[in-house]
Amino acid sequence: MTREEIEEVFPGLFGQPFEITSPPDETYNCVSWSVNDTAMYWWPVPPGFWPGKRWLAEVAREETLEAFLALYKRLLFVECTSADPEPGFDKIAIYAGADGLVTHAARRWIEDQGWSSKLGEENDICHFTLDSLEGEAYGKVVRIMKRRRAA
Amino acid sequence: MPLELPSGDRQAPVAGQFIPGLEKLFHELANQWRKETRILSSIQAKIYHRCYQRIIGLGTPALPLIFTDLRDNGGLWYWALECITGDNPATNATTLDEQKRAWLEYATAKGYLGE
Repeated sequence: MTREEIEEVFPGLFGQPFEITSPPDETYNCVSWSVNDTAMYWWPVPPGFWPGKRWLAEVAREETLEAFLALYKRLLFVECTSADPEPGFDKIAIYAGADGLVTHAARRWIEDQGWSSKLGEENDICHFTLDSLEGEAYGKVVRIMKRRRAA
Repeated sequence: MPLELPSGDRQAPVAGQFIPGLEKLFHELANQWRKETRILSSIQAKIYHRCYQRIIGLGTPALPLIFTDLRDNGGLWYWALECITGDNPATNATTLDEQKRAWLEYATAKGYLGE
C-alpha cells in the first residue's frame, strides 16, 4: 500500500510520522508479527481447510478477546496497564471492534522505535502512537500485555 | 463464527458459460473486496464480506476470472473456489504456496486456465 492509501484507511495517521517497514506479504499477519512468527498466519480458524494458518490447539478458535488473551497468556504474556516502554519487557496491544471481536495486534519490542503493526496481508508499519490506528477498521485498543524478554 | 461448508450434492463445474458484463462486475467486486479487507487479519471478515459473497454467487461462470486473479494477484480465494466447485484439491497442502499450486493445477486440468 502507498502511504496515502494507509492514511485513507487510518485517518489517525494523517500528518503523523510513520514508516512503511516491509512490503505486503500474505504469509503472515498482525498476530504473527506480535509473536515473532512470520512463517505462519495466526488466526483462529478451524483446522484442516486453511494451510499456513496457526493457532494453539488448547485455545478456543474464536475471535473473542477472551480467546486472544488465552493465546497470549499461553505465550507468557501478562496483562498490564501501561503502553509505555518498560526495560526488559516486550509489549503488545490488542484492538477490538464495537462488537467485541479482536481485529488487530500491535507490538512494541524493546528494540522497536515506537509501535509496529502488520496491516493484514499488507505492509508492516512503524507508528508512534496506538490511537493512530484506532477507528473504523480496527476499533479501539482494549488490552495491553507484556512479556519479559529472555536475557 | 463457525466456518463449515454445507454438505450435500454439488453440480460439477461447467467451463465456458457466458454472462454479459460478468468480467466487469467481477473486477469491481474483487477490487472493492480487496480494498476493504486487505488490512484485516480476520479470515472470517474477509470471506463474509458482501463482495466476496456476491462473487461466490456468480457461480461457475466466474471460475476462470477467480483463477486468473488467484494466479496473478494471490488472495484468499480458496473458500470461494470450494463453495463453487465442491472440490478441494489442496487437502494435503500445508502451506499457502502448496494450496495455491494445487488449485492452479486443478484449474488448468479443468480448463479454467490456459496452459
